[in-house]
Amino acid sequence: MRNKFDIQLELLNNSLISMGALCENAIACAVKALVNNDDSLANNAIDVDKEIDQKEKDIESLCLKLLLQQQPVARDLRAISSALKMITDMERIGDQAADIAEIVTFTDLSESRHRVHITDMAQAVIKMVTESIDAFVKKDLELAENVIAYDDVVDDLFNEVKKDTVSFIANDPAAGEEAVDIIMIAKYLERIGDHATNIAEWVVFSITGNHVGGE
Amino acid sequence: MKKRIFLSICFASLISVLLSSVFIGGVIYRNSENEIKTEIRNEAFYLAHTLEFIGCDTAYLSDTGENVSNRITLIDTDGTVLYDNYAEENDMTNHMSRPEVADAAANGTGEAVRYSNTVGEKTYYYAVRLSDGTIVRIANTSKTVYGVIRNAVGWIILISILVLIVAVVIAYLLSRSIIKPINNLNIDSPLSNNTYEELSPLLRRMDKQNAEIASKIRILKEKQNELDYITSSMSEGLVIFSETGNILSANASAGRILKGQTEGSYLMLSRDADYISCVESALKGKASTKKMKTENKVYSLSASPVANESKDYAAVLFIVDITDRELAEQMRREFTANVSHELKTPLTSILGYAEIISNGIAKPEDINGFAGRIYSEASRLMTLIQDIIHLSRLDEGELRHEFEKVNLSEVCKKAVNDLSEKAKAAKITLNEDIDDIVINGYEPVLYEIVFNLCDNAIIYNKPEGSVSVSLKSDSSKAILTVSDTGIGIAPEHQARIFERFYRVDKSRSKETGGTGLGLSIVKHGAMLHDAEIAISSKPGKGTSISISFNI
Repeated sequence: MRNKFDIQLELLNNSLISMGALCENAIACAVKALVNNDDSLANNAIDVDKEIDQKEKDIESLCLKLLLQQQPVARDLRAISSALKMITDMERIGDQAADIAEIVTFTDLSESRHRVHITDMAQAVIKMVTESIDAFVKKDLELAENVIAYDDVVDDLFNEVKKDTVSFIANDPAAGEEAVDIIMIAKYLERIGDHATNIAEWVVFSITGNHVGGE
Repeated sequence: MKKRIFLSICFASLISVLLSSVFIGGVIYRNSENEIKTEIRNEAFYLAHTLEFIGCDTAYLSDTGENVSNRITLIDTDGTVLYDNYAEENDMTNHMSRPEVADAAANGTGEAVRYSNTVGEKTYYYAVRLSDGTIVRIANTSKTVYGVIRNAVGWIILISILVLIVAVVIAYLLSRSIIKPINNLNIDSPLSNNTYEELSPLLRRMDKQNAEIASKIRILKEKQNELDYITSSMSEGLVIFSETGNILSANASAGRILKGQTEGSYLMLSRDADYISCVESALKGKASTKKMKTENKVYSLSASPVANESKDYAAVLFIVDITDRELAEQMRREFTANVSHELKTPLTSILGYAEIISNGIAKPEDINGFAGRIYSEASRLMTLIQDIIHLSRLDEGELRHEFEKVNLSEVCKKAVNDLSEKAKAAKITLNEDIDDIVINGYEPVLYEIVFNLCDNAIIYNKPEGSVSVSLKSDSSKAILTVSDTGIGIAPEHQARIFERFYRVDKSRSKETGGTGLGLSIVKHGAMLHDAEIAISSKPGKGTSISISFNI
């Protein structure tokens, strides 16, 4: 016989995975919207963000209920407390994806994006988010550590985008506004990378009990 | 069972101890009572006899009475007590009314038993009348049954406890040894057990049921294996979910397509948004079909709910690769768009010239030229429609019924001959190296193949270039090769040149005059003859296309 606690823990796990899936969906939509300048995809990303916010509230109340009613200890307590932290990061990823989508709805960057490495950076960030959720799903310590290490790649790409943008403005001062939008998007992407790193760190914590973060 | 046996043994031993002590006690008590009575009676007679002999001497009586435990009373004929060794004679009342004394006075002897419930004692009296009429009475007081029990109650409890302890130990050991063979029964082969015969019907039954269960399990396993075998060799993905959304079974293809774990929650399999919404809607009881796109494949997901008694929904998900269908769909759309475009272009020219002429704007000297243009555009339109008809006939596949022996070398020579004028005009040398080969096929289509290949080789050639047509036999194959020294085809285009209306250089289509359907006709013609097409080409160097027919 499985008791109620086990069922609730499984529910928590599943809810976290589906919230992760929503995050992946949001960022994928936002990036596709950026590449194809597709407003309907951008609006889709914004809608998904609302869903993510709702999901965060649901999971939060589930976690609190579990903490109060079941008084978990040891590994269960770790799983629940790391879930509480993870949903905050996931919610931020959703917000940032929605922010990117919002910029896309106002401007057409499908031409100027070729002049900077923004697409590479977006792909790298999507990979990070996907892998951090994968690490959680599979409880894969190695994958989580890879994600944490991969954040440096994204940071390097951000610096590259920054450099690209500077020369972009120098060559074509008229496109300054677009350049500013691109640098904003790049910053959002970089933040999403950081949140993916955080998620990976909490995955490591829920497996080993050591929280490696603190930058 | 063990507990039951244990308690039963304890209870039985306790009851048997209690009952046996009661009965044995009763018997012993009764015996001792009788003995006491006999003794008292004897004593009374001895004393009576002695008193008869020595006369009623109270002094003698008092001597005797001080040394015996029994009560001796001497009663006069009127009932007054002459002597009593237990009490003062003067204090005692007239004893004539006592039943034993009255009996003795009347009959010579008398006896009576009197109980005192308060002290739990009973007294037995025996009286004998002497010859002078006085009566001597002997009395003995002993405990009654209740008195005995009251005295011995401590002992009884003590013994009972001891017996109980012993009984518990024995009961424990016994029950264990009784149960042991039952506990050690070999359930897997019930008949091999050597145990209580009372169990043998049960064991026989068990054996029968074991056999039944084993055969049922075997059948189930076979069915399961069969299903597994079928589903595992399916290229389509098949997943079954429980009401809680856990994966009950997923075949290998499902795992491969969705790239996830095939156990646990449905979320473990994939986190694709379309997949999740499809499965979730089925789990809510609504069938759903979605297209899922991966990097280079398109899958159709159909999930159906499966209702159980309690109205919770399990779900079945079926995943089909529809990449080819999507591609074909796309090609058909492109073809329709291309055909209409290709048909419209010459018509537009024709309309334009015709309009100029009909409006009378055209100068009379230009009309001939315009008519020539209209003629050439119309014949271009005709060729195009002819090609499309060719292709659609090839698509139908009905031509297979008209296969006959065809001399391929003659077909090749005819095509080369028909193109020699065109080659000369384009300053291209035509070389032929043709062996005599007969194959099974449909001549008009074979002619189209050779003609189109050579035509392309001439059109996409360089001035002063050459085209060589060779037909060689290789054991079971007839290999037709057309090579040119032309512009060549870049690798990225090689796979697509057989598509309808596909052109490497779209801007040149008009001036070269092709319809864009030539190689498509070659491909379909080759397919009709089960022939294989091989292409090797280097941009700037030339192209060689060879088709191998089965002889």
